Amino acid sequence: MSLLHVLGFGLKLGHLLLLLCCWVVSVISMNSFIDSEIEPSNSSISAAAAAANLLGGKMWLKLWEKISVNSSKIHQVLEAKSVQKSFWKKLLRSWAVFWIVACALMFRFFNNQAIDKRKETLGSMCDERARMLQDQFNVSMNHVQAMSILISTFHHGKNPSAIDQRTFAKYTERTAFERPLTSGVAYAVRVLHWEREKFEKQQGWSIRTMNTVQQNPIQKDDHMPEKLEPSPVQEEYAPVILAQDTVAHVVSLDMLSGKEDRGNVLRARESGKGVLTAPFRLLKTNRLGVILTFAVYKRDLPPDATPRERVEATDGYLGGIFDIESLVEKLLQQLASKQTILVNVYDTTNRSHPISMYGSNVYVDKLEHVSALNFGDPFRDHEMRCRFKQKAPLPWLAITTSVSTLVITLLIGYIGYATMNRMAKVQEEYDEMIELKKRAEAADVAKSQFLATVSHEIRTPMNGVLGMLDMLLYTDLDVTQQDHVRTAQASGKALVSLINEVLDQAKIESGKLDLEAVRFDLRAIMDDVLSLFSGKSQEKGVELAVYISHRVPDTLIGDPGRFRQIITNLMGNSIKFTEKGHILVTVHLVEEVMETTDIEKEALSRKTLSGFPVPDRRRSWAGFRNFSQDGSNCSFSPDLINVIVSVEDTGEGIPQEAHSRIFTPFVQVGQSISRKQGGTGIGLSISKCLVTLMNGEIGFVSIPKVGSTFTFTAIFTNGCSKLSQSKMAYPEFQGMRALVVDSRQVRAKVSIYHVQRLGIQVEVVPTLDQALSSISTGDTVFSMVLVEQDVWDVDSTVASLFVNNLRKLDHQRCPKLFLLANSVNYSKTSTMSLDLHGPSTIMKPLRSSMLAASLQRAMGVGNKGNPRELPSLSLRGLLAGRKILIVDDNYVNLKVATGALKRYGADVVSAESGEKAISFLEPPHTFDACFMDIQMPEMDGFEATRRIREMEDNINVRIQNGDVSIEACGNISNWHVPVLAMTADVIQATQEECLRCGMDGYVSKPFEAEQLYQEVSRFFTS
Amino acid sequence: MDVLSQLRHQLADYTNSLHRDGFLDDQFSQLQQLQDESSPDFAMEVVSLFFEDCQKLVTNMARALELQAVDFKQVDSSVHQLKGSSSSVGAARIKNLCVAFKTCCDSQNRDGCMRCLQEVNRECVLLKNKLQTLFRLEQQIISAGGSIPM
Repeated sequence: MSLLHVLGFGLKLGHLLLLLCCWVVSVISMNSFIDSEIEPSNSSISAAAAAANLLGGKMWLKLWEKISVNSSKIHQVLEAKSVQKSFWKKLLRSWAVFWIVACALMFRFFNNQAIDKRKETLGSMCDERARMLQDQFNVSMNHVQAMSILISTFHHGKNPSAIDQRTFAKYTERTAFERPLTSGVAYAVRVLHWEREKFEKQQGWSIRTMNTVQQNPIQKDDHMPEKLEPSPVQEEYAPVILAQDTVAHVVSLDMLSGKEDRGNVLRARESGKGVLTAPFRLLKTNRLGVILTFAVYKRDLPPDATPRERVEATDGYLGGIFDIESLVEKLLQQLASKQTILVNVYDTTNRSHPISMYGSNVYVDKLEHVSALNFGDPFRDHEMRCRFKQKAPLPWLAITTSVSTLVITLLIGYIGYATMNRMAKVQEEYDEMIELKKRAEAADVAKSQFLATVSHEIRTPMNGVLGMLDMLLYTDLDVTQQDHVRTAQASGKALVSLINEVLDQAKIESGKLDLEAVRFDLRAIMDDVLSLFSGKSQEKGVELAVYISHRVPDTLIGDPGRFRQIITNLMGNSIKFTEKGHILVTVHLVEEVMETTDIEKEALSRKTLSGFPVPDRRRSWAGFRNFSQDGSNCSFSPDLINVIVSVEDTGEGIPQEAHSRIFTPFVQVGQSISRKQGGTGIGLSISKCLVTLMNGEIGFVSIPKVGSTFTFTAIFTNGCSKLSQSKMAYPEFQGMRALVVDSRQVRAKVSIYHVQRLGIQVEVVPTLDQALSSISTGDTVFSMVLVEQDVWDVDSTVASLFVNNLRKLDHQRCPKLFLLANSVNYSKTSTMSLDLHGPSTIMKPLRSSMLAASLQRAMGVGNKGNPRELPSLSLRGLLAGRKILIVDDNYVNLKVATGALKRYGADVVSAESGEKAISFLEPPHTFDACFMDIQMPEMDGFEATRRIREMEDNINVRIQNGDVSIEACGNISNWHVPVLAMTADVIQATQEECLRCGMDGYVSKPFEAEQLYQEVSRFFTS
Repeated sequence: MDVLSQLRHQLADYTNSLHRDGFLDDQFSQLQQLQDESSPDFAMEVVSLFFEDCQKLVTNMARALELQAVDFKQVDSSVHQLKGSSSSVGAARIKNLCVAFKTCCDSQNRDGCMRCLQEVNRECVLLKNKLQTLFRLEQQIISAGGSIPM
């Protein structure tokens, strides 16, 4: 049971922890939710994050549900007790592994989420910047294009030109805000070689080349256009004629002479679109820049004009100088959170060697976002690469979530482990307990075995004693001797039964005791018990008496042995502790006791049997249930007899402090008592158990130095179903009358009871004088006068006078005189002093058989022979001529048993195995009985009997069905041969087994005459 | 007459000594009582049967105990049989030995069993001699023309 408790506790704890875990997880998700809301960069991102978190939460919720379902399943499994240790260990291990993996996955998941978010943020920022840059650039480009239209219209369209250097510079200066990304604008015209001279003249300067400049870029400070070489002879030139002030130094330079510019110019006039150079170091400023070139055409060209046509139509080239570095710088300045992000711009026309246009290559964070830039030149590709300035922060959310989850699950695992350990320990302890229990039970069995052995060993000599007494009874004894022998025999038998009592305690303790339900004579049992104690009581001079109410039926159905056992126990205790006074056993019906008025009771309690005071017996049953609720027992069916028995003594009583444990087994009142009086101390506890089994109650009242009264009730069934009055046991006394002289009412009542049982009518007078007067004057003739010893002793003169007066009466009327004496000494002294006509002495306690015997002897009536037939003689009568089968595998036993039975005149056939016995006993046969050994090899007695019974049942059925004629079966319609078991072990269990397998009875081996007689007489009538 | 009474005296003494030393118990007396005119040698028959039985059982048990794997069940049943027959005959010592023997068997104590077996064997021989003497005395009484007092 504790195992389950521990389990329950473990599960509860686990449940609690899981709850905690869920709570932690939900808080974390909530936090991340809030975090993402705070993030100002983009609301859509945060919304997405929130959705993701929400999803995560849901996932947890589901997981939680699963876990709780699983835990309940686990609980069921545990309750099914199919717990296997290795299975749980594996489960635990896999649990730990699973959660470690799960936590790693969780960490990855959260980390990836964070990285994605960062990436997204970076991407959006980068894209934003790129778009802005592109927009600005496009604006500038558009304006440059517009300017090219302007130049074509006002410079080439007008003659003379409406624009000169000054106008151009001014105009461009003032419209510089329109081109936020350009640092300067310049216009170069197309000059063919043959026009050069004319052109140079017209402009007043010669066309110069840029090559040297580019070859010597170091001397930028003293860069002077004057120092530049005049352009060598070329096919055509593109000298700058107009330039914004910021780039005035490029006037007169031949654009075709610069490598970048030349390519640019050529591409621009062929495509008709804005064309960009690769980034390069600008003249003078020496900063990185790109030049945007637009071709200016003489006339409007169709969009599908061939490059050749375009070249033909070219008038000049307008170039815008983009100082990317400063421009991007300026642009980024305008944007927020510029400090968080590093921007690089590359020209990636040549994929393998991107040219950096802006930004440094120093970075710490590897995360990079690339946004494409389109500056309108299909020939050139540009892109913007963005990075965070700071390294990504540690993913705390992922770390905390996964670590805390891991910790919690490992804790749960540990709890599981601890629970498992505890379970294992409990299981171990349980096994240990089982082992101990087994050992204890084994010890108990050994104890029972020991008791059985001991009782067996005691029984053997007791059988000798009893056998001898048995034999003594066959000899010619006078009635008194017979009574003595019977008393001795009864005592011996009681001793055997007392041994059985010790066994009973064990049986009661194990609840294996069942009560019999047989017809028995309560009065006879009481007489038996009385005779058992008569010797002792006479020795002590304690008066022993039994009174049974006439309302108690003659025969009851119940367990006489157990009833007798209770009475014996109680009386045994009483006689142990009583030195003077009396012991009175009264048997009433409960109804009778309840009907008695208080006054009557009062009177009864004041006048006791011996005159000694006794405790109020009513108090002994004060606690009984039947009495507390009035009339409840009256509702019993008339067949149930509720008997109340009181054993009253004037002993030393039970000390007050011992009252509570009086019914506890093996408890005696003080150690000294056990030393002085002996005994096992289980008598009362057995009695209590037995009384409970009889649906009764037991109680007592005791006053130290005054006495004790034990009272118990027991419920029996009425055995006198038919009204046939019990046949007179002593017909010779029929019609006689007796006079009892007794001054004590209670004692007289007992005497009357006993005398009446013999069929003698009784009258009571308190004194001898009154007795004399009632004898001499009354009409009635008394056959006998019974005088109590103390009445007789009061005055010897009165007594002798009484005797003399009796003698004077005529012979017919002269009653026989009897003294009711109590102690052994008295009977001797008094008989010595009395002459032949003096009174005969009857020793108390009175019992009907003894009383009858004494009266018979004195009055010369009744049978002279022994009242009971001698068992051996009757055995001979019973067994003579009977055909008996003896089955025993042991030849010696067989021989002895055969000899014993032959001695009683039986015709004995022996068989040495169960199989043989079966073949002998197959109907029809002529056997009258079978004695069967139980323990035989191959087929034991039980099995053989079972087979025999089967055989008999078969034939009986066949006879009934008419398959076999009765004549063929020896005129017996119902075959049932009595089978008696023979065994050396006299154990109850064996007996039960015997009856179960169809045996009729049971004799001990070697044969004991009386037992044999008892068993055999059940089947044979002589 | 004098010889007869002397013999009788001797027989009584001898019987008493057997009882006193615990060789025999009451059952033997009962066995003797079963003897009558129809079966004058009943006791002797039974006793000789008993010794035959004894010899057989002892041999059986000795054989069983010599084996490597002792079949204690078999030994036990032999002991049981011996106990039954000895109690029937009234051979008290052998019966008591059988009780001890049985305990040894139950606890599967081989050495104990061997010891018990030897004891039983010795007791058997002893009792056989004693009873032979007893029966010889009885025979002498009968041959002297007397009857055996019961």
